[in-house]
Amino acid sequence: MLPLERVRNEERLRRAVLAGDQTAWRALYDGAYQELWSYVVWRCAGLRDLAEEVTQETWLIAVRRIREFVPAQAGFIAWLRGIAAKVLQNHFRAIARRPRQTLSGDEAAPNIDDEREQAEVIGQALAELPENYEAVLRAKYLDQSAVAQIAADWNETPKAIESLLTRARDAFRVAYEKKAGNDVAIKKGEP
Amino acid sequence: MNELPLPEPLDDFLNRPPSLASDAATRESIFQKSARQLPPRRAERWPLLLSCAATFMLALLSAYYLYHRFPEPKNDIVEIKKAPDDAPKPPAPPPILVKAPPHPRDLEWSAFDAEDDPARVSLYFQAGDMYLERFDDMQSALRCYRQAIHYCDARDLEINPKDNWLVMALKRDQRKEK
Repeated sequence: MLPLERVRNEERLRRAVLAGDQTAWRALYDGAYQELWSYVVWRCAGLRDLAEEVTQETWLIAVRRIREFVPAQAGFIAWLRGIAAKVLQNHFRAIARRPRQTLSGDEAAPNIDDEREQAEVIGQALAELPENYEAVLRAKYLDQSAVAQIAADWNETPKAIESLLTRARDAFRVAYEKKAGNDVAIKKGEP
Repeated sequence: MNELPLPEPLDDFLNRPPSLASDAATRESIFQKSARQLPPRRAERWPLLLSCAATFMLALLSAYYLYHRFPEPKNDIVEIKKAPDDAPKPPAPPPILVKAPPHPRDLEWSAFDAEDDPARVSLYFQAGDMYLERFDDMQSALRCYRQAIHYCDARDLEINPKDNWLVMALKRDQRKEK
């Protein structure tokens, strides 16, 4: 869909939703559901229960905040992704603040081998990344776009995208190791 | 540029991104829940506008007819003009500006966007109180209080004599769960 056509269509649907038109809401919902779901699953590192919770929360916020959606600024799916990212950030921050049970250290191996815990750490590390790092990783690995394609879409040179990808991967690794390290320290009962 | 290799879980995650089929029942249930939050449907406005215009025209015609049938009697009362008052009038007091209290919805969104949890918790509690006290909107108050309790730490879960009955009940439930 051409950008102008997309803006017109989404603006028309937005106005109809504000007038209480359920069919228009259905059109927006069906048009974006799958893409939002894939994004949330990726951000939750494949944890289904968390992905379902975040997806529901995102849609409920979206319908209550639809007045603030401006199609000329960003597409509906980009707006939804912004909400989902904020929901996830709040979720992971709440988890990080929660006091965790301190273990004596005699328990089983402290490395994060549990699949769920590992997925949570990956999700938390992703939530820590700056927006452009997260976006470039998503474009490359989730959407599987070629570097040249990302460069064309973002109006950048392929070299700039390669460099951004390197920095993003590096930041992702650092965030992951920090989170994983904290996890191990907490399990060991270290301060 | 030399790049450090990614730890195995990250390498796996990036090169084999998780994908889960969405559940059709969950999808429909989320749609139904969100559709319940839509604003009430606005009725078609044109019949209403047409009837208003017709009523207005009818009133105008009736006034014209009545005025010409029963012309207004001449006014014999002589108006006595009051001498102009030379005394300077006291300056009008400046208008008192009353700042409208924020809408709880705005507080709720500020809470959602808040950068730190203590601010978020406080804003959610304020929004909940306002929904309950000003609008008697139990559902919205409950939503805000639940969010506040979700983000608050153990100390904030202590029951405070200032808490309303709803907050007390939610805190009690939360403590039981923990």
